[in-house]
Amino acid sequence: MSYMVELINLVKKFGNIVAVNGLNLEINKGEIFALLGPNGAGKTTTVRMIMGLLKPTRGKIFVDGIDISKNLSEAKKRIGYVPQFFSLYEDLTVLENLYFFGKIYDLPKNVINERIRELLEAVNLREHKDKLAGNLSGGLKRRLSFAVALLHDPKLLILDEPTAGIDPPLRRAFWKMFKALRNEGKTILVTTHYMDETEHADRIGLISRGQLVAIGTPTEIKRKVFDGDLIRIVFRGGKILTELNAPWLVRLLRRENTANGEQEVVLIVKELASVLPKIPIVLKKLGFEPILIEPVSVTLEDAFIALTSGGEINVGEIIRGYW
Amino acid sequence: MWERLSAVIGKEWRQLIRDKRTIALVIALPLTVMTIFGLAYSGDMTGVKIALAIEDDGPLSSVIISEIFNSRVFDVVYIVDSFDEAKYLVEQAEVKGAIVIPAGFSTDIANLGIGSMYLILDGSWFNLPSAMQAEANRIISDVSDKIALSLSVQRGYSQPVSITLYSIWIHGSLKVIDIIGPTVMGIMVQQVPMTLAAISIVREREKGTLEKLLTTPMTRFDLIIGKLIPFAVVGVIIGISELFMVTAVFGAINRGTPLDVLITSLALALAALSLGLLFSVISRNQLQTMQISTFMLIVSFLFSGFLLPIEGMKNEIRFIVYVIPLYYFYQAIIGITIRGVSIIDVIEPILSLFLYALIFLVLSMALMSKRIG
Ligand SMILES: Nc1ncnc2c1ncn2[C@@H]1O[C@H](COP(=O)(O)OP(=O)(O)OP(=O)(O)O)[C@@H](O)[C@H]1O
Ligand SMILES: [Mg+2]
Repeated sequence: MSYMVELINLVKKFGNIVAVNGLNLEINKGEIFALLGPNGAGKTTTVRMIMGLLKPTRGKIFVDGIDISKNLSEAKKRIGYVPQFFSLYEDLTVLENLYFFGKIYDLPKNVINERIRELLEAVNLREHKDKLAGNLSGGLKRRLSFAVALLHDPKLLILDEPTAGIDPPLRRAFWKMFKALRNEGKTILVTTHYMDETEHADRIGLISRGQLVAIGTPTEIKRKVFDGDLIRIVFRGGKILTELNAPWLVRLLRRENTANGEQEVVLIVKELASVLPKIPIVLKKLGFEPILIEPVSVTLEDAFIALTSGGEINVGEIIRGYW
Repeated sequence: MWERLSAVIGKEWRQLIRDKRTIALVIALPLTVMTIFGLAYSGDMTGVKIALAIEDDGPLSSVIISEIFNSRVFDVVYIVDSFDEAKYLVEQAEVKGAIVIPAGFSTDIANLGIGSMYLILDGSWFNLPSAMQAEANRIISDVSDKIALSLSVQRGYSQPVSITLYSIWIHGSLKVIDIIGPTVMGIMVQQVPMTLAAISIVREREKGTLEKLLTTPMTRFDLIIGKLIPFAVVGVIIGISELFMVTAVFGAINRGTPLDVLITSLALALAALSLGLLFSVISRNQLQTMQISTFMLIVSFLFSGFLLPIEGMKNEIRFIVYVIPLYYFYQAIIGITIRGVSIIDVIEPILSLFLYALIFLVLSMALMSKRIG
């Protein structure tokens, strides 16, 4: 019962389309979990099932230990939900929207006033409080939706692509708020298709075609693509390096002759930090003169493309960008 | 230019036929209206409730009585002894009219070959009196011939018989606006709130606001009753302002109190709203609800009894009037504004409207999906 969200073998079909295909996922209490996937991966469908908006074809959903098929209303009280598309009343003002949802959540009047004051401050909407929601810019609408989701002080926040289509400063601001909320003890489930921002998440679940492709911390995900970390080495020396035997080596990825009789190799090693100091020693033992030893930084984007492109991992493609 | 025009035509056509349910409504509703109309009104008028006052106990009145009982148009629901009793029944709207066979009818015919009869008509039922007059005249002319024939045979010489029908009007001085005015007001009180209600939930579905709303503790009861109340207020405001217009500006008669009219309007608005909410709950988009609302408007005009008498509808189809809120309203409002009775005297149709509202509200709540898509 220690999970905030637990999805067990979740399936959702729309006619012939299988939008979610046997998803198993656990989200821990107090973490920021990013559900990352391309368009049509099944993120919104998954989130809507958690919110009770869609009935799963198969599978079970627990929120804070509550089986939502048995006690949805209890589960709902614990969740603040921001749908993918703006879903507040465009013909009500910012304040009117906040009051309305405050009352819908049965909050006492003084609590509503207090929360609204805090939240307008937190999302920087105070000067816009009397504007019609429909007249707000895209970024302001997102902030308002976020504020509404926080009104009843939920344990769990579920945000469906909150950062899609908004500018980088606001995206950063959002992630800062997520972290602040996490530090207050809240759990945050956020879907996105921006890989870069998921670096800020505690854990990432990669979803593709309704299935979980990978799950872990950002570092774990990157490592998973190559079964280890990448190191690039440039060295001089007589022989051609074709083979290397070391317990920490996963494999030799590439080798190339470059100008001035230098050679360049890319190695995959089990764990970068412990291997790095050993490399010059090994090279010297073999009679090579190291010129450059550096880690190749793999972005989540590379990992993402590699993992979701299905079969072949085009390592050459990934590394070329960093040579 | 032709390219662009054809592009727009093509797009509209595709959009029109894309959603099967919408296109089915677009085509089926007009056909349904015509089908119901044809089925309902292709026959003769039947079952007009009347009283029969028999003051004459002579032998000839029995010929008339049996002819009246044989009439498919008239449905004799009361037999009384005097003109006054018959008139009272018409005034109380217990019957739509009455036929009186006056004292001395048989002797007058036997002695003089001339007789008279009275037809008491309630002028507050639009279109019905003329149909009753036509039927009464048909009966009289048939009966005159029969009596003439039997007298001729008895006496051995030709005996012409002439019976004159005198029409006596209750509410006879009514103008069209007196009768139709309150009902037109009813159409507004029915249609405007109903349309508001009909688009309300489906609009939330289309705009996506329902997706957020359904994830809050809000219940179906909250949503449906919460929408009902402001729209009902709109309905009552429409009712009162229309009443003011039709009476104060256009001079229609109102013998009822404003409070009674207000309660009657409220009952109609609630019934119409509950129906509108049901439409909203079962429709997929606003276009569909607009179609159904328009359908209701036409159906209300044709089948609520106010333009075309219900007695003109075939019996098997008459049940349709019971699903039209305007029917009950019409029954009640005519009593209040024209006959000037208090709301207690027309409580039956008004309670029917409240019951109607209750049934459709419960149905709307039951059918409302708490999911999206
Ligand atoms: N109501 C529906 N009827 C039919 N198919 C649907 C429906 N909703 C979603 N789908 C399909 O299910 C799949 C998953 O859609 P979903 O919206 O969950 O993806 P997503 O990951 O949220 O994508 P995006 O990043 O574009 O929002 C898609 O193929 C989509 O077309
Ligand atoms: Mg989505």
